[in-house]
Amino acid sequence: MIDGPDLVLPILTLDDDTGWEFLLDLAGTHLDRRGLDRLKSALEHTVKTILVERHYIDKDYRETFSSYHSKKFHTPDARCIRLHFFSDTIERSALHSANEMVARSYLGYSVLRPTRPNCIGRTLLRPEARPGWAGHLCLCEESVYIQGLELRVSGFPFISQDGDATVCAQATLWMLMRYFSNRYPAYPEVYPVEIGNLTRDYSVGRLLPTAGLYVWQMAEALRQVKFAPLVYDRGSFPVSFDHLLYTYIESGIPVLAAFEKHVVMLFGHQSDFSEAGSTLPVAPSPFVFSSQFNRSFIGNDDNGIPYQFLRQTPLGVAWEEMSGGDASYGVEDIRHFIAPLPERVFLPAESFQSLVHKLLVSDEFGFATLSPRILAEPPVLRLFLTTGRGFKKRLSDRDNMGHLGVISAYRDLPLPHFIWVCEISHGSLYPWKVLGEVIWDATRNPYEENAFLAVHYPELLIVDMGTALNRESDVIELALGGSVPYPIYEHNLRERTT
Amino acid sequence: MRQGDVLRLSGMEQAKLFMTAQQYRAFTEKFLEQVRPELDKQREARLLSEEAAKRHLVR
Repeated sequence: MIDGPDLVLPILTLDDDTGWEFLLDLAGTHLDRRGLDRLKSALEHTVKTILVERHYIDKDYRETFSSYHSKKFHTPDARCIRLHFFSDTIERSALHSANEMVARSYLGYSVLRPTRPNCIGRTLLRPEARPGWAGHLCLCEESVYIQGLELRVSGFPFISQDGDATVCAQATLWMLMRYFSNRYPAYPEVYPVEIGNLTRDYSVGRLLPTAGLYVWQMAEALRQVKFAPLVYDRGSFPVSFDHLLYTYIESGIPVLAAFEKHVVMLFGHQSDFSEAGSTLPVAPSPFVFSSQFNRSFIGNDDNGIPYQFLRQTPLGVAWEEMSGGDASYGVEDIRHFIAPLPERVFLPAESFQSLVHKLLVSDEFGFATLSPRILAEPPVLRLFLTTGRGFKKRLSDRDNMGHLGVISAYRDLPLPHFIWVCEISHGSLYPWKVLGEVIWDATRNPYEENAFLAVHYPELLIVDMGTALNRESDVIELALGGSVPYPIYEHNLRERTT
Repeated sequence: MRQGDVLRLSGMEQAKLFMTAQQYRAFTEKFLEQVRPELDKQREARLLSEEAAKRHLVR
């Protein structure tokens, strides 16, 4: 059924007589068959109602129109159409006042640009818009207004390349930058056409129409907007490449993953913990790493649809392909990834891993010497970066960190803006509970002395008071009687359940 | 006067010295000596990664 096909805001209710094909009429020349097929494949299992917001002025497309399309002899429409998706039937009258059902069933929006070959512009969909999967994701939130009604949507931004101002490199950078600007006020909002300008000083060829970007240019573009990106090459990190990629995502840092000629956004993972209790360390390390449970990375391919998967069948076996785009890729095809670190994170993941690994097997601070409880099973380690503020904010949600002395000490302990954390657990407890952690100053360089802030085992808490108080090291310990396992830290990623 | 020369953490009233400053200095020297070759390799790998990224075009 279509309510008001000639109105500015027609409402398409999908039923036996009215299918997705009707969108081609309602959206006019803004939507082509290819765009319709992509939207339908992403949303057909969840969407019941589509609001077609005509004459929508999209900030991202309008900038491209002003800088590029308006200079052509034959110009496309300066305005867009925005589609709003709902999982329930929505009556027009329900839009005129705050309505819990409308808010609950809102799945997000997609802007249709009058561009070819890709008409799908700025898109933000809730992960629930695609059914039947679970995982952990980086998400940001936006307010959306429909005829004055404010709705909220939480997801990861998506956009397809327009082939003129943006190809996959700019589209993927846009997704990354929009995620950060939505989530953190320190990062500026950047429009697609501006991303090319960020590489103006080191461009190769002309900026418009674009012919693509080198991976190092993408990293430079990120440096222009306050990131301190690190580039990882699979050939230079042959053993740890996938583990490091996972570690950054586990830290809530989306990464740009570059295949031979294409680049995609990865911002989540799916893990299978069903065999955590029987998973063994990969020799010679005595530790199981949480990345060993990872089965898929979740990401956006601008040639496809939001929330796709790079699947990993059992460890050591080939990755399955990402589907839904023009080409298919597997994780083994990722040649580079870029981790857009915040400026003040001076310690990279691989260095933290080496340092904490060495500390945990040392005679002086190691678990084998100090913690019989951890020694009882192969330790499971989860490494992640977070803020000192975020870590403290969630202390109260974590059962006193296993012991009242620990939560009291952590509340007082001065922490840097960014910390690396290595949580220590057992396969029988993971991923729900941990037994301890090491906290490391992420604003140190790897060669500096005295950079750990705390080592927490079930039996004792060791704190370097000197480092915490910005003076010479002063390492003290507190014996912990009656310590219990406590919940893992869950601030970096949001869990999406089936 | 620097802040916090005699500060302590709540909940750690019963804390005791884990290592003297001299012992800890000796530990960190040995620790960094052991881990330095690995850190050096990582630094080299990052530089090689940046070089490789200069030849990798995506579109």
